[in-house]
Amino acid sequence: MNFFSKIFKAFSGLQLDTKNPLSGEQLNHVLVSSMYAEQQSAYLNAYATGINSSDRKKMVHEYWDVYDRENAIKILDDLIFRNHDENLNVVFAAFEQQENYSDILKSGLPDDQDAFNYYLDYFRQLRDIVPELIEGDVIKDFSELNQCKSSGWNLGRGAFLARCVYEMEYITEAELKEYLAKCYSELKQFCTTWKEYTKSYLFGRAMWQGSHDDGMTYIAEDLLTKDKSPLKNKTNI
Amino acid sequence: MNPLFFIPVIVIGVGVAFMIYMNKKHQSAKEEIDIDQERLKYERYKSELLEHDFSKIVRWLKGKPVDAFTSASVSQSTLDKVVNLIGDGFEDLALSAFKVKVTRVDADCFWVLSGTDLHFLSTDTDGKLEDHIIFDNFRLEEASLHYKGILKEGLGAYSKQADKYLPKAHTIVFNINGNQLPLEIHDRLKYIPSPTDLMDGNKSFFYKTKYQVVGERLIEILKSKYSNL
Repeated sequence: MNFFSKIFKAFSGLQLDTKNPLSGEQLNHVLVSSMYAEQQSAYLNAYATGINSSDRKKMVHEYWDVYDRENAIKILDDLIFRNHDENLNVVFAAFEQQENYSDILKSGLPDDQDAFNYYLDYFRQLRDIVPELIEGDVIKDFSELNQCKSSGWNLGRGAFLARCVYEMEYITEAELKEYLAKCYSELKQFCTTWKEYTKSYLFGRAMWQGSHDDGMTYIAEDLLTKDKSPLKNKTNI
Repeated sequence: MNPLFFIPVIVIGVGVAFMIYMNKKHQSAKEEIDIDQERLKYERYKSELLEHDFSKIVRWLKGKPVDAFTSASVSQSTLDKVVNLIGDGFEDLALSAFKVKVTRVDADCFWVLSGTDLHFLSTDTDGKLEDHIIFDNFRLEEASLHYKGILKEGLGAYSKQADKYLPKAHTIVFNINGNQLPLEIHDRLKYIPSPTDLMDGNKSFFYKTKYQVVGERLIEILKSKYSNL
């Protein structure tokens, strides 16, 4: 995609594929990738991303460090698996009960020092990020994140990466459909509504980046409220 | 003899008399204050200071309890060290915050003990909160504490006072990813008397005592919570 078409896309709002639009369940499945897709000015309603091959290649190779099918599948599986990390429940419980956080972390996390430090850093990051999200009106209270955690961020990235690696022929169409369906059913376990999905995505991204970006809030708002958005009239996942 | 000659003599005489009077007044005010008795009023003094003189600390803590608080400082050598660490590509939230925010050795800084966390708060030249770093239970369990002595560095006009009114400092050293980060804890809150306070010896000594009684308790509570300190 050349520079001017990128600029044009960025200002032309949500991108929809008019040739092969999905509907019904298949649309629901692909919408798990909608936050990431909108960030990339990609199609929201199709398996095809609509982004040009050099940009896609750069994203998959340089940002994700994925160069072949084996690595692609490994990362896609990991993005689903990490939502079931029970140690994060311990970290979230410690954050909710700040007066006892130390005891909760010490008794609930693995003894292995490296693993313990990983979750301790996550806890410290929570302390920085949650106040930012409250100040930015993303959430009113930490409890809103208790169930969904960063599932929207993990599954959203997984679903979009799957679309990209399908276009690069690392996975088949059948595998893509299966993976998106899996992302959707997983997301339902953690988020009840699409709004929760966007909050979870914003939370996960802020944790990854180290700070909340207000620009991401506008992306979520556009997805949830613009007439053109396939999510406009959907409430529950 | 020209009577104008007496004017400077009278002015000097009155000045000397006033100094003697003020010194006596300060001396008697100081003698009236029993520091041990004052220490019994810690809780009341702490509440009063948090309600009035240091209400900003309550605001900055956003609802977290203030168990103890006092003044803090960052030595020039620590600031230099932090800048070097960052220059070497060292990345840590706590330290990189220092690099960006605390650049003045004379910045007004505070320690607040809240539960098992020690909060470091630094302000800009307008007294607004510039940075807020939380040293949690795990950082405190790995920290060390030693007595530094009377602090004179970075106090500005405050350091012109007699040694006995200057803060005694402890240095708390945090281990941040294998790097040592020393920061100073004062044994009293920083008190800079206003010109009217200077004229009122009683008020000035009362405030000095109150700021000391509240500030000195932080080290005591910190030590009782962390046996390694």
